Amino acid sequence: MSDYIADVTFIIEGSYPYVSGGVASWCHQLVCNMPDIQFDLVILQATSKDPRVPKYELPKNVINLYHVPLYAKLKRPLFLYKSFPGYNLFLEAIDEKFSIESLERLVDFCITYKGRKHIRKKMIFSQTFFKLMEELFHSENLQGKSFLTYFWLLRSLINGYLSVLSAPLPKAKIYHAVSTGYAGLMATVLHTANPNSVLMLTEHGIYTRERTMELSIAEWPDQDRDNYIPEFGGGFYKRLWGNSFALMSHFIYKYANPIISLYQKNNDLQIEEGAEPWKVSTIPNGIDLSLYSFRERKKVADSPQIGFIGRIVKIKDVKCLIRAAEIVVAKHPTAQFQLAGPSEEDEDYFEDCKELVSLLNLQDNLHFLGRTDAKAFYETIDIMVLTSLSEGQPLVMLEAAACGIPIVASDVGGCSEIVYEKLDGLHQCGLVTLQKDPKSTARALIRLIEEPEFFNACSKAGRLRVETKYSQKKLIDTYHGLYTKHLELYVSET
Amino acid sequence: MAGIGFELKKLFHEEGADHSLGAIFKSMMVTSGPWIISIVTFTAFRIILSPIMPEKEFMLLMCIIVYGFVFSMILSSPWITMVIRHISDLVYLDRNEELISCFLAAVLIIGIQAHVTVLLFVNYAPYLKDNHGTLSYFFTALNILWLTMVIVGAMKDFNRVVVSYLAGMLISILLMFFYAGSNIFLAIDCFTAGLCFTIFVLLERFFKEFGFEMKLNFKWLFRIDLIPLFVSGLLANLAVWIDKLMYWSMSNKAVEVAPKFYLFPDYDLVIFLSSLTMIPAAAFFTVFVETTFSDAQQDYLGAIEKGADLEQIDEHAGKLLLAYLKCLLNLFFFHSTISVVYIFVLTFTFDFTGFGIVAVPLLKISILNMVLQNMYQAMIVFLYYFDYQKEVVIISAITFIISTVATYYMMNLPFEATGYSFFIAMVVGGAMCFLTGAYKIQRINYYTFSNNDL
Repeated sequence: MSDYIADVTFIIEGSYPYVSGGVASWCHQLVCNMPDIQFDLVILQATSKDPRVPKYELPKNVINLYHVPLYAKLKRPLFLYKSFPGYNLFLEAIDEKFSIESLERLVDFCITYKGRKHIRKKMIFSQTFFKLMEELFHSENLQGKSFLTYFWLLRSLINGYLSVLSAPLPKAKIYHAVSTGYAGLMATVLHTANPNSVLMLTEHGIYTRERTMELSIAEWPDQDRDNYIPEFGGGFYKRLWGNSFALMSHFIYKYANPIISLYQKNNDLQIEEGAEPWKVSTIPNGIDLSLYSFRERKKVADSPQIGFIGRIVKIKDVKCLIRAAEIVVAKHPTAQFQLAGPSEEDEDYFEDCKELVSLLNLQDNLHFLGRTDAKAFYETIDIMVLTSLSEGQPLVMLEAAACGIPIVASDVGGCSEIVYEKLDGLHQCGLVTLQKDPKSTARALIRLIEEPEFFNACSKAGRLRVETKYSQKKLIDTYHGLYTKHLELYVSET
Repeated sequence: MAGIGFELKKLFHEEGADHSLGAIFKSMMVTSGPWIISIVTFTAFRIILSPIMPEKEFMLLMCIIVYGFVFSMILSSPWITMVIRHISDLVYLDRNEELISCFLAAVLIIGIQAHVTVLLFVNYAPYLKDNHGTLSYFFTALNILWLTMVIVGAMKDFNRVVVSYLAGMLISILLMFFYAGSNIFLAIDCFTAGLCFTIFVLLERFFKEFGFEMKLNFKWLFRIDLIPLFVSGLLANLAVWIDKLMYWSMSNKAVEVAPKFYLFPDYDLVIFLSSLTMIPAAAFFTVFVETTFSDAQQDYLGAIEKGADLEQIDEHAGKLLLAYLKCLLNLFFFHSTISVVYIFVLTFTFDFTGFGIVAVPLLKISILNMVLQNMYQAMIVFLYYFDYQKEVVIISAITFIISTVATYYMMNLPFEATGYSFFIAMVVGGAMCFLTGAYKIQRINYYTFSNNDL
């Protein structure tokens, strides 16, 4: 077993195989459709108590699963430590304001340090680390601010890095990170420990931007214990975390080649975030067309059925959809909104959504269905709607289009490319709306309801668009070709 | 100890010296109640029984009581240390409904241990087998009385505490006067009756305040984090008593005052006399800790909780360090002053009456040892306050070892060397405690923030 080297190791954060979604489905497609490639999975989770019940049946070519909890419980040691290994390098990193070079030195140190498993414990509980935090508190000019908040935030931030730096280092010929962030950091550490390996990156969404958006709408961590106090026009803590995510992105961008995204707009963003243009390329998502039977839709039913598939979470902006439903129902009282998808991830938000439905008196028109069989669901709906604040290249859009369902989607991620891209003169397959704009969404829905010719043209174009650019065969062939090329190079070099 | 702190603060903040005196008296009763009971009762026994009881039997009675006290303290202390901590956690977490069941479980464990201990002892001293029941109940009552002192600190009705102690004493003495005659074991039964009355009155109030429920909760037994407390509780008490135990069992100076009972009468009497200085000193310490020090600690922790910045936290930490040093310094001066006065009074009395019941040099070293012991125990309490349990285990283990080794080598030296092994142990133990406490408190921010699981 010690000589075993995986062909490809996926490094995944908060997704496959334990959380279902677009990224997880993509991972599953690749592993299932490349039986000749041996895969390992390095799975980053929040804690070691996170559920480990696979939502997907893992094929035989997935050999090993390695779990890296980012915030595993750490019991205080019998005696607290005076200092920690790599202290000088850490000091240098602070002086250099955590440049990539300083991170490289820390990574180099950690992967060769004999007791690397204990680095996290030794640092977190050391006197010198606490002293450094006190000095940083003073140097950041945080008088009047809670030291307790600062302490725990900084500790959590550092802890994430340390968890990655002290994680096991399974060998592989190709490390394929499925995002930047902690997965990207982990992948780069693995690649550094195994210099003959290739590091690839596929970004479904731009991690840094998604985190920045989440931070911007989060009340904490800039909230003091009792009062919300906005600081420094954006928040010291939010900037700290935002810069941390940016560092992780820059780090993997430096070493990864190729850097792949699902659509052109994201390539542009990757270059903006620091990726070198010659490394970036696009490989869009693909679906297995044989699973989705096309039915040309001439017009919406008398009782228009508008569907949504997705997690009921903030990033999907379900509240915007609910408000759009109110406008649509006002004009078309028989319209039915069917929202399929799990709601356990953010129960508070789900309760808010239900309350909003009740407040707007939409109980007879908007229904939360929970988890549903997607293929059966597509048979019942006329229009697919997405109001997300952030998306990559939503598989549900491709599936819906493949079934001949016109799409209304917010202009995020690759949605406009799916709907509007000029592909061999094909008609658009739906409409793209403004983000966080219920009126814009409602207008698009109403247009599709009230213009049957336009609706029909979108329905026909959807399948053709998917066949042209978004087939699973194309996806698998492209990645298989990439893997094979790099595996051959690996063999020839070693 | 929320109840006593609140009560003491109230008393001190009211005008007038009588309220302060009242606070010290109440503190003395809470911290040293059983000691005071035993001293007064034992003195009463001596006065009432010695004219009518043969000397040998009286000595056996005295041995049973002394051994009972010493071994009950040693054997119950590890459990009590665990239970105190668990109960404090429950109070902090506002889970008062579990207090009674935890306490009752501790009573059961300590009670069983006491019975087993007596069983083993009567196997060693078979002539006591016929009175095994009397001895068992007496020893068990003592153990439970020590345990009951844990909850006394949490109660608010101090008048009741004082009355229960005094009434228990009175019952013991009256029963002994009217019923014991010259029978040792009847006398012990009378003593036990008084102890049981005290326990009953205290527990009745405790159950009324917190709600009685016949349930046993042994969860605290399985808390791994309390194991250091168990070990340190045992070792800290052993460190204090091991020299006396070794003198009794191994020294050529020991006397078999009753079959299988050994004492070192000259040293024991000196220990008894010098331990009287502990009563006001322990009370003084309790008052200071529960007021000044406790306030400083609450302010420090409260500032952190409320979101103070580093400068403000450092300021409060400085005040806490000051309170710690002030407490130790004041305690040292207070106890030393009492001790010096006490030595003068005693030596004057001996000289005046010509009745030198003890060797004065031995008395002096013993009184000094009491001061050192009090300082040692006070600093152990502070280390517990800051949750430095592992450090207490190590310090008390080292102190115990030093006391054992020093006593082993010195116990058969001339009489003048008596007491110096304990002196050495207390100096070393006290120095370790002080240095550890000072080191930790200087870095209190680090230990407060970092000494938490992530």
